[in-house]
Amino acid sequence: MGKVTTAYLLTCAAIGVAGGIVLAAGWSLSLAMFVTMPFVSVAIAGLWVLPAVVALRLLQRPFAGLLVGLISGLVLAPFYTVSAVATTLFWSFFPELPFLATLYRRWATWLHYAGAVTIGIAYPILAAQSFDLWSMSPPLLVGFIALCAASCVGGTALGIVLADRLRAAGVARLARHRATV
Amino acid sequence: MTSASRGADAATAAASAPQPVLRVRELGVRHEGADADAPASATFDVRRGEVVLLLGPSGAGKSTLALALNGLIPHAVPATLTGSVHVDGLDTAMTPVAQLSTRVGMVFQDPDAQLVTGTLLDEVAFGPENLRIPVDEVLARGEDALRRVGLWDRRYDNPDLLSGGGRQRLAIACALAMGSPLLVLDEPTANLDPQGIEEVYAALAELVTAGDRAIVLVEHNLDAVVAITDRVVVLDHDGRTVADGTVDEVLRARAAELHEMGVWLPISTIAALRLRSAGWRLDPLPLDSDELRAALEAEDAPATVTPGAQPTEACSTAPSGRSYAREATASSEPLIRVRGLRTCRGRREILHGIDLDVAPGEFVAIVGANGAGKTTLLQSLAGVVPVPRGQVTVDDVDVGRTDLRTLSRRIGFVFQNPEHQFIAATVFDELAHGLRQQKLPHDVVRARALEVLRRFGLENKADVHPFLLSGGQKRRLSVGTALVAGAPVLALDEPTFGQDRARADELMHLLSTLSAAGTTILVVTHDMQLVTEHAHRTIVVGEGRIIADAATPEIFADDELLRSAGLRQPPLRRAFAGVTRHPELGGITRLADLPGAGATVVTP
Amino acid sequence: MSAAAVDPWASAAPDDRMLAGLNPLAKLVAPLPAIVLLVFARDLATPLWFIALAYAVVLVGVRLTARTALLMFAVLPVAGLVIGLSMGLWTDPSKVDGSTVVAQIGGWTLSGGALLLGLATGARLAAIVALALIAGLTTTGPDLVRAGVQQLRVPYRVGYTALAAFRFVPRFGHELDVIRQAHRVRGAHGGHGPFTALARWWGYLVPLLAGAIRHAERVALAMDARAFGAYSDRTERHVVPWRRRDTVFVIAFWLVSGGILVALFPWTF
Ligand SMILES: Nc1ncnc2c1ncn2[C@@H]1O[C@H](COP(=O)(O)OP(=O)(O)OP(=O)(O)O)[C@@H](O)[C@H]1O
Ligand SMILES: Nc1ncnc2c1ncn2[C@@H]1O[C@H](COP(=O)(O)OP(=O)(O)OP(=O)(O)O)[C@@H](O)[C@H]1O
Ligand SMILES: [Mg+2]
Ligand SMILES: [Mg+2]
Repeated sequence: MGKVTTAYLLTCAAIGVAGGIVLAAGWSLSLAMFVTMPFVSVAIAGLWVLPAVVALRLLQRPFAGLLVGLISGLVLAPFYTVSAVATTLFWSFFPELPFLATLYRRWATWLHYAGAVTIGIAYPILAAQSFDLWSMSPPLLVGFIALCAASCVGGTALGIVLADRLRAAGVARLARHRATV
Repeated sequence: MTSASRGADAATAAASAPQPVLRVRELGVRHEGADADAPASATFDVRRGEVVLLLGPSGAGKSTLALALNGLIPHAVPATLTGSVHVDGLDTAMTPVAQLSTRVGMVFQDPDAQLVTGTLLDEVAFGPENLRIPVDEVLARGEDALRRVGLWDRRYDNPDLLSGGGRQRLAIACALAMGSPLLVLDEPTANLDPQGIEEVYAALAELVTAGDRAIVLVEHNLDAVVAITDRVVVLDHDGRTVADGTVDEVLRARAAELHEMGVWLPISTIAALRLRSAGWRLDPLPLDSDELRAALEAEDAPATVTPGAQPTEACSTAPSGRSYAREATASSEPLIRVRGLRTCRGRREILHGIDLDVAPGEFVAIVGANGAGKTTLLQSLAGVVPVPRGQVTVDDVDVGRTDLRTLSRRIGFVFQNPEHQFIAATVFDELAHGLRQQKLPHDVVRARALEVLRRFGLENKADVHPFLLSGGQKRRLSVGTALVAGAPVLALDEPTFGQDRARADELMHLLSTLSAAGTTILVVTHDMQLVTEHAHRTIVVGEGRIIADAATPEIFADDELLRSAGLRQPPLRRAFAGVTRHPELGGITRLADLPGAGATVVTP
Repeated sequence: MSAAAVDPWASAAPDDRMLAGLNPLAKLVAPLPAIVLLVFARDLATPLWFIALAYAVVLVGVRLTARTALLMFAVLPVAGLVIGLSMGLWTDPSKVDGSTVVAQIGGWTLSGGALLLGLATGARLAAIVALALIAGLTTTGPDLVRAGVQQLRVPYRVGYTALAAFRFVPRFGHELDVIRQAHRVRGAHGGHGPFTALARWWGYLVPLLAGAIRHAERVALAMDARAFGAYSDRTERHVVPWRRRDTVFVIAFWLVSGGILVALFPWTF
């Protein structure tokens, strides 16, 4: 693991834990929504991409998003069982995807949004499969997808603002530093 | 064993050991994004078995230097390094941190930030395990290290169960287990109560007597360390070595010069400097309470001193505790009234029935061991934690019923960590926030905020992000935000935490001035000298109860009480309490009460 | 339930029952195929069978505490039922068998088919949780990490990062409390309603993250100073072996899962 510094690993852990604490609140909110009105619960889907977006934007290092996803899942696991890890990894994979595709050569802002749109559309389709939403009426289904996409884009925008503020506050210098020896 | 003889031991040891463990030459470090080197040019050596104390004003680069000693700078921290650091002949710029870790052990300021695993034994084993040392030897090293700091019996406990001092001793054990001949400690006792500090230095003293480890210590609290120090290296404001020698050569011979530079000295030494300016000879200069007492006993008072006259003059800004307390309780209605206060956090009751009255304009210190409930008490008064109705009133307002906005106009609260309470993106907005909430006109807000900025020396930082300020500046800003709204009560949680003594002093003088102007001040702190210097009244908290509540001098007169609460006598009191030859000095506890206090050596 | 109540380092209560003696990975891997395949099941019987299987394994293999009993016999069934009912309400009536009517309010009817479909979803989610309990109830964080490092060859630095993260949880939870108090004292974002609440939470995020990252950096320096990552492996004092019984457990579980799935064949293509 030559070039990966401890500061990078632990900074991702910190973002993951802080994200997990926020998600724990979001999760119960979305569960409550899910129980009553399943499709509205995706309105806060953007919350799930937030930690990964913050990490990628702030650190601009490969795999930061996935690592943060893994950690926040582990933190949530005692409350929401091991499936939490799968969930958060899934949600963190998409913010990471555009950068992976460009082999981490570019860190342009629009790439963040590209990831957001991808998951905003992919998730409702996958969710429809697992919750069997295909049986819903079509307008409801379209609204479901639109809501989810909008939420993911919104979450990404918030993540970008948050990361930029943190950077303005001089945070995470160590993690951006590359190991020299 | 005296410091002088220890210095001599070290000198003979130096003659026989050819190569120093540590060799620092013209070291300059510039942090990424900084515009100057700090330290700028540090040069010194450390030999086996030596204890070297590193001093310098805040911002001189002591912490930065410590990070450079085991290669964290430049390998882990983004900074450029000039000059050289050699450990056992290895150039740190070319050697990986992991390899250096077997030669330099590190103990940092925050004990929590050094814990990785779940039991004490796992914790000491963590380092050796990383080095692929066989299991048997890992265990042997772990046992040895834990025994040396007196924690072996607790090896299966979770480190979270240890007190602050215990955790810091554990950190020392972890550094020892690496087997390194050099130990570097950066302010290892900054947030500990006096008993914890004593524990840590007892553990270090043990190591020193064993004589097999060299130690580099960065510490503001000199009273605790001079006893084990061999040599002193002093950096100036820019981080250049200006003094390097034995305790006698540096601390005793150049004390006045160091004091001038803003480097803090042991309280007893500062006291002695003041006495000298009042005509006492005191040669050699004493470095701790015992030496000061002995020196005073050995000497006649100078003819110029008129006993009893100076003290009252010198402390005109802060009336002496005893007389003040009487005056206050007799004359006015209490501003803060607490009756049977029981505060819970979660399901646990932390405070078990507190009764308390504070009169307007009082300066009250709240002291006690780590975890005693000081923070909880202070937060209950300010309504920061929910309190039951009818138990706390501030300025005739029931804290349990009022919303915080109304309350925040009556009581300004300063949290232990200033970063927690910053809510704006610039220093100016941070100050303006409270004023804007009062719906004051724009130009009034501006004028008042700028006035506070000037008063706190932050006028050229108005547009900076609060997080980018230095530690001392952050603290001043947080105090500024608390008092800009003009609250009649100010509550501060460990305002001197993480500050060097010069800044602590500056802040406390500001508070004393505010207090003299009528503001009621409540302070939680671990610094007993500071309490004696400034507080009219002291409240000792232990296990969620008030153990004692009296005028400050009365509290510190009761040694048994202090010890049972995990506290200790402030050094000055310890020195003067035993002086029999000069009864006029007998009751002195504050620097301000010393003859000669008005002379040149007073800190700005 | 507060985050601080979870101690990832607590060694498992001395439990001589079967599950505690298994490798954590075995407990994770055994129910995995069933969990994945359940996502695609649509009937009610399959998830109910798997719930029964999971409960059987847990009851045999774990010493039951009041907390787990509450979780298994109250929280989980109720949650599954509620989710099932509400899913039933939102199902498009035209896509299900509407011949039996369970409830009718005005022009809207809840058909038996819709209810059945909803309950199937609820049971499916409950079954997934129940299967996850097999690992969840008897595995401690450090053991899982050790197994990951020893059997799966996960780089130990990543494993220890995860462990350090567990240590951060109570600290950051506490830090968040303090930040909330501090902001309340400053009178920031007073008032009620969902939008001020959102603005309030937004204001906590920067200080929380900044403090969290600063702490992480300090811990990282302290770990580096103790040779963390010096080599590609490190001395292991605690061995978490993979034994024959782990293999037996996994294969047996897979066989039973396969048996249930083949017998019920819950997929419609
Ligand atoms: N990460 C950093 N990035 C930029 N500048 C830094 C960083 N850390 C420290 N500095 C600056 O380097 C200088 C030296 O800081 P350092 O913390 O070493 O001082 P110090 O002597 O330990 O002070 P104190 O007694 O207050 O602890 C200061 O001016 C500080 O602002
Ligand atoms: N948020 C919280 N939840 C639960 N318990 C808490 C919380 N904060 C503090 N405590 C507990 O309350 C007790 C008193 O804590 P408090 O912070 O008031 O002590 P303190 O005297 O300020 O200590 P220190 O000198 O270490 O700052 C401690 O035992 C602590 O563990
Ligand atoms: Mg420092
Ligand atoms: Mg406290």
